[in-house]
Amino acid sequence: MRSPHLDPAPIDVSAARADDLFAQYKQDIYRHTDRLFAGLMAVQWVAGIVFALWVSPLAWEGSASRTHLHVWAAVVLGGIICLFPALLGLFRPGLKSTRYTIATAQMLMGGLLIHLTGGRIETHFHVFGSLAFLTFYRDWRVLVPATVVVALDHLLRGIFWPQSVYGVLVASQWRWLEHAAWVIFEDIFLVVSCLRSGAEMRQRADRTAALEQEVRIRQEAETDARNTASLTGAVGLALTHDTEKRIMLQKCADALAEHVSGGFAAIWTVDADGQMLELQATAGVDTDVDAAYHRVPVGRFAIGAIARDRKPQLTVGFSVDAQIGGEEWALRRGLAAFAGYPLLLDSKLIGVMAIFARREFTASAVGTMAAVADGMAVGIDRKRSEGELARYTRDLEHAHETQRENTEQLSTLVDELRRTQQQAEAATRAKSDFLASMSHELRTPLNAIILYSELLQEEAEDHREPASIPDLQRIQSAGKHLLDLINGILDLSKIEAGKMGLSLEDIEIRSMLDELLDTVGPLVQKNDNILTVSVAGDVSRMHADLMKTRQILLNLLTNAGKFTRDGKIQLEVSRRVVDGVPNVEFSVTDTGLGMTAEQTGKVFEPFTQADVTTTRKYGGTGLGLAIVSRFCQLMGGTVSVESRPGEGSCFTVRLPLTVVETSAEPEVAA
Amino acid sequence: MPPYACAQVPAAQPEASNPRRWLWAVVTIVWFSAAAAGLWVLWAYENQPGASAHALPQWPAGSGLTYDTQRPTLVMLVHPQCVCSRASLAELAEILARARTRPKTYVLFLKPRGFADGWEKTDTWRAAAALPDVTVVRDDEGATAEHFGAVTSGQTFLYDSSGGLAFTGGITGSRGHAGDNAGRASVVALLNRQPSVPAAATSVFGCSLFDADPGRGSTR
Repeated sequence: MRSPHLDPAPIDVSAARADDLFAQYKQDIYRHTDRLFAGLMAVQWVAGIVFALWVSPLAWEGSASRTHLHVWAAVVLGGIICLFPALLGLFRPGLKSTRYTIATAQMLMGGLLIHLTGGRIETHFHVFGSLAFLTFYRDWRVLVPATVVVALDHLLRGIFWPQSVYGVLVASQWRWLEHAAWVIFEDIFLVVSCLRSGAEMRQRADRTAALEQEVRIRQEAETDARNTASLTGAVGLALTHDTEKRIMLQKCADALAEHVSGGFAAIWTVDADGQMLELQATAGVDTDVDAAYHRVPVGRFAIGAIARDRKPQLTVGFSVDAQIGGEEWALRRGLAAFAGYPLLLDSKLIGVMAIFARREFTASAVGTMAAVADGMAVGIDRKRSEGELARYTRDLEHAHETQRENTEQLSTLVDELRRTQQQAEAATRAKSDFLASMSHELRTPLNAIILYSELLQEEAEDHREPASIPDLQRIQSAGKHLLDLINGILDLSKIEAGKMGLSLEDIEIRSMLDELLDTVGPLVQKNDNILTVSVAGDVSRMHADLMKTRQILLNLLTNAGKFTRDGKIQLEVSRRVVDGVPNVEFSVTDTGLGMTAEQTGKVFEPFTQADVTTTRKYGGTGLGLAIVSRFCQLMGGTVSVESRPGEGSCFTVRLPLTVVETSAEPEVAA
Repeated sequence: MPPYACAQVPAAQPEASNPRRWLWAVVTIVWFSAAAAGLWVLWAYENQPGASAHALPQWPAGSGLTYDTQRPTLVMLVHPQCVCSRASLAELAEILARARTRPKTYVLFLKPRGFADGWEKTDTWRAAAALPDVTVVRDDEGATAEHFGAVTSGQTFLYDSSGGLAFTGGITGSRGHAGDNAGRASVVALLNRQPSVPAAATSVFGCSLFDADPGRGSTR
């Protein structure tokens, strides 16, 4: 077993391939040249026969002739010399023994031809030509037997027939060296040529091997790229398109098994506790995994160890690795390599991926599977997130549905409210219209009634008819009451309709109070009350609606005078700062009847008085304080009351020292 | 093929196994021996001289030819169909070219009985006739050859100006083999009056001028 590492050493076959190519080139040349010499041998044989038949067909003795020995030599000896190497060249080409035999035969044939041609010097060129021809083998060693044959020829003939070789009757025993030297001289050049040719052939083999290796590397890279693209594409498709986790992982396992050419792939995911690996998908040669591997505790088997250590493991020759297990199973299926990867996402264990292959993994395959493991971890985690998101989405949809129903209900209510409001506004407008018309229609005759009652009263006084005066006074009083009631209703209606505007101006407070006291003084004092007015020294002017301010004070003082007998009524004017804004505070305090807390709570509502009997007992329309409250609001001020039954009441009005008009609809004239 | 498969390097073609190698070695040795033996036979044949002449020490008077008293006289006997004698004529041309004193030269071509006229006029005849100062003579039935005692084609005699025999033998080193040889060297030395003459007599390499079986009666 090789310890885990993920960078298999590349196999460099370039040098071996160059050696092989070089040997192949040489072998091709040997075989080709052998066949060439096979043909040449046949040609030489035939040529020798033809030459013998042509030049020396017969030998003579006087008048008798017989076939010349040259003919028999050409046929028989030439056949012996040529046929054997020719057959070797045809049927055993490329062998060392063949080319050495051919080299020997070529020289022997040269000797025969020289003899057949009568030792002509031209025929000796056959020897030199043959040597050159032998260099076609590009193997200088073939020159050795050829040269030896030539040397032996001269040596032996020099010994036995020196005159036939050297032209002398007695020759030196070393004379053969002189002739052999010429052959060796040529051999030198031919050997150099062979060596150079061999070197060039070697260079060509080196270049071709390098080129082949480069082509192979590129082809392998292309194949790797295709396989990688196929694997990553299939895995990527599964990770992005499949909605169900188990289907997604099954497709990933299928892609991995296909990537390792029929190996085996399996994928586990870790459970929620992170203690148990659960088998999700298998693919390849054997998908029927032993039950022990369906749920693997972290730390058990190689799978569990990978999950525990969170490190990939690459094993070759795992038949001796007991930890991986399934030795017989793997051997039976011809599996030879194992790679396991933890599926990690930000150091968090998602699962484990295992691949069994029939061959050792390449560096590219290892890198690809590591990338696939990373992608798979992301995909599984994304699938988990999608599940949670789906739950959240369902909850959200449910909430959205509830909200939609509530919204619909609210919308219904709003519609109803809007309709109610519209109805109310319509009623208000109708009321305002009614009041406007009524005020006009009522006030005209009322004014006439009041005026005529005053005239009749004056006439009664002038005519000394006192008996009718009280009645006329009642008529006048009732008319005025009715007129006040109408005016109050009209004002309140304007305010509620938003048609009551402000007419702001600078007010001399003392002057306003003087005028007011002139009007209200008799009313207050009618019940034997004592009215006191105090104005703070720092209060002299204010910017407000004079008529409404006076109406406010008039209503408060009138009420105080109405509900107080033999008491005291006090008007105090002071300056107050409320929330950083300077205000003028008007405080009307009486010692009259006073009110309960319940009565003070609704005293500013229209047509409401402290007691139902109040109107009958004290008169009034029940609109005075409501108008006070609305006028204060119009000018940005407030009104409040403190009262105790039997002890009196204190109404406090606070108006900004400088009133600012917020809504400016022009006051509609009654 | 998976991407991690390695390229396979083809194995070189092995030589034959040992028994077969020995067989081939034996066959090769037998072949070489046969070729060498054949060549040996060829060499032996080509170096096998013909019968030497029974040369007379003086110019044969009844030959019908006369020797030159002013210069040497050279006589060569040739079988017109003998291919080996082409080399002898080539050597004669060499001698004539090298000789400072050109001899009177006769080249006698045998014409056995029973052959038509012109049978003797072969390329060898024409080669001899082309040589300068060479007299080509047809020797019917070898009569003149017999006077000179020659029995082998290529037999050469050199007589001095007094008719004395100076050299007898062949002027080729082997049968039909032109080139340096003792006969040519001796003749040239004699003609050029060189002090050292390699040999006064040498072997003759050529066809027999006369039938081996005298009963056939073609020649002699």
